Amino acid sequence: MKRAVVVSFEDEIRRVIYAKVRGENIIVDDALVLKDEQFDDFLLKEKTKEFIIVSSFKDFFQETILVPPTKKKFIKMLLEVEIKKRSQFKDFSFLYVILGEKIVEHRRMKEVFVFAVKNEDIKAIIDRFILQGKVVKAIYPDIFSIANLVDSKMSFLCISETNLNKNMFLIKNGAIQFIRVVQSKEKGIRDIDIQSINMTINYCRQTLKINPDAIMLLGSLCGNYNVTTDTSIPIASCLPHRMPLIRDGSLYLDFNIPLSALFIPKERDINLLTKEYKNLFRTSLFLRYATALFLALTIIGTGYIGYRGKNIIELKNRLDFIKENLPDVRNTLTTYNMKRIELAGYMPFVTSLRNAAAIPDMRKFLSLLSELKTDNIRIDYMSITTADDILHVELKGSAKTDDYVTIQTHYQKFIDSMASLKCGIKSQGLNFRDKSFHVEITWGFQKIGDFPGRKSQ
Amino acid sequence: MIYRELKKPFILYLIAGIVLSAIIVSVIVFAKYEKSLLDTKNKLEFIRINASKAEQASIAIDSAIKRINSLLPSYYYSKSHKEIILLALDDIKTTIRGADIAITNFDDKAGEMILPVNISISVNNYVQLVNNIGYLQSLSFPYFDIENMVIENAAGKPLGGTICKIEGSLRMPAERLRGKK
Repeated sequence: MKRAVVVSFEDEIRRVIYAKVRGENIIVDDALVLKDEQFDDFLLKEKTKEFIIVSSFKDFFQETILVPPTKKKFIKMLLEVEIKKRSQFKDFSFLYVILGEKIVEHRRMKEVFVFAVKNEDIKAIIDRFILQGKVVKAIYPDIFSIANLVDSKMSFLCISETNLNKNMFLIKNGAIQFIRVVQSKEKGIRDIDIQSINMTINYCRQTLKINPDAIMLLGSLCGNYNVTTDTSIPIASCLPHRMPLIRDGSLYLDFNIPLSALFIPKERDINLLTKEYKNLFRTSLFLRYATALFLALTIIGTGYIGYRGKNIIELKNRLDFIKENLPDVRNTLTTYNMKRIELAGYMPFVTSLRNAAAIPDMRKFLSLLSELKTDNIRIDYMSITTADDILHVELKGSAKTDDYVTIQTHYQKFIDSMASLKCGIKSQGLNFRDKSFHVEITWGFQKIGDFPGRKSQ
Repeated sequence: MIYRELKKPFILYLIAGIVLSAIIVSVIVFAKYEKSLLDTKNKLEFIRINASKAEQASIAIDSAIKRINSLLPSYYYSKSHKEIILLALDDIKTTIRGADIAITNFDDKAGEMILPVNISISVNNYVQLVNNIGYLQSLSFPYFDIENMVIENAAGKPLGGTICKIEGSLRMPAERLRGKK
C-alpha cells in the first residue's frame, strides 16, 4: 500500500489530503485546510517526505497552435519556439495535447493545444518544499488534474472554481481544447456567471467549431448554484461514479482538486516539474534510500560483529583454558623420544622373542599324535622339520596283521584320524607286499578350513 | 543553485557510507580473527591430544621395557652372551636327564648368536618326550630353535626302545641390550 500526500495550492488556501493508494482503490485518511502563512510551518512539522502538488496558476499561456506533421520530439521543439514567440515567456514549462489534424491552405497541419507556465511560478512553489527538505514527485495544473475526473467521449464545458475565479475549459474526447478563466464577484454560480458561460459556449461554437453537449460543474460549484436564468445547454454536476463511498459529500467537493491528482493515469504526462527538479528529487531520493540502506546494513553488520565478538570471547576463554591445562610439551616430547631410543635398544631382544614365538608348537603336535588311531599300525620312524611356521612331518611304519582287509581298514582309519587332527596330508602310500606305509603331512597354526598343506583324500 | 539542497543528504550519505565501510572492514577483521583463533584452538587441541598420546606411549614403552627386563635372566648384564647360552645348555642338560648333547661352534647369523645343539634322548615314555620338547620350547632367553626332530627305533627295536634326535640351536640377540643395567 502506497501512501500519498497531495497539496493543492488554491489562491491563498492550501488543501492537504493524506491517502493510501492500493491498486485502483484510494483511501483518504485525513484532510487539512491551511492558510498560506501556515503552510511553511506545516511543512516543517510534517514528517512525510514526498508530496504531489496541484496548483492553480494565475499567469499561464494557453493556445491552440498549428504545427506541420513531424516527429514528437520536433513537435515539442516547435511548440517551445511558438510559445516563446506568442507568450513572451522566457523560461517556462508547458504541456501540450495533440487535438487532431487540419487542412490549412492545402497543407495538412497538426492542431495542438498548449498550456505553459513560467518556471519562476513553479520554482516559487517547489522551493518552499525544498527548503524543508521535502521531495516533490509532481506538480500538476489544477485544470488538467481535475479534467481527469471527466471521462467521456462527449464534449463538455467544465467549470471549476478557484477562490472567486471560474475556470472554464472545454473537454472533447477527454482532451482539453480550450481554457478560460473568468473573475467573478462571489463564490458559486450566479446569474452573472451564466452570462459568461453562455458567452463561452458561443465562442466554442463560433471560433472553435465545437458544440459542447453539456456544462459540467466541478468541485465546490456543485453545491453552490443559485441562478434564475437558464443556460443554452444542459448543466450537470460531476460526482464521479468512481468515488461511491463518500461519507461526507461536501468534503469531497471541497477537496475535489487535490483528490483528482490521485486519479491521474500514469500514461498521462501532465507533470510540470522541470528536468532539473526531477533530477534533483531523484538524486535526493537516491541519497535518502541509500543512506537508509547503509544504516540498515550498518545495524546488521554491528549485530554480526557482536555475534562474532561473543564467539571470539568464548574462543579466547577456551584457548586460555587449553593453554593452562597444556602439559609441558617439550618435556613430554623429550621423554617420549628418550623412551623410544631406549626401546630401540631392546628391539633385537624383541625380534628374538618374535622369532621364538614364530616356531610352531611341536609339543602340542606331539600331544595330538597320541590321539591317532593306530590299531594294528606301528610307527617305526618319525621326522619333524620346522619351516615357514609349519611342521613338515614324515611317518614310516608297518601293519601288524596279515589280513589285507584289516590292514587296509586300519590304515585308512589311521589316515582319517590324521586328517581329523587338522593335518595336511601331502602324500601317503601303503605297500601290501611288505605291509609298510609312508605318510608325509604338514601341520601349522592355520585356521580350520584354511590349511595350506591339506589335500582331499 | 538548487543542488545546494542536496548538501545535507549527501553529507549524511557520506557519513553512513563511511560508517558502513568501517563496519564491513570490522566484520572482515573479526571474521578473520575468529578463524585464526579457531585454527589456533584446533592446533592446541591437536598438540594437547598428541602430548597426551606421547605421555601414554611413554608409559606403554616403560611398561614394555619393564616386561622385557623381567624376561631377561638376572645375570644378563653380568655375563657374556656365550656364558648365558652355555648356562642355558647346562640347564638343558640338567633338566633332560640322560640326554646326549653335542654342540659345535658359536655362530653369528642375522643379528643372533647361535650355538648349534644336537640332543639325543632315549624315549622310554612318550609323555616324558612331549614334556622335554615342551621344556625346550619354553626357553625364551636364549630360546631353543628346533630345526629337525627324528624319532626312530634304535637298532631295529620297537617304539618302546626308540631314540629321539633333535637338531636345533640356542639363540639370542648378538647385540647386547642398551637398556639400564
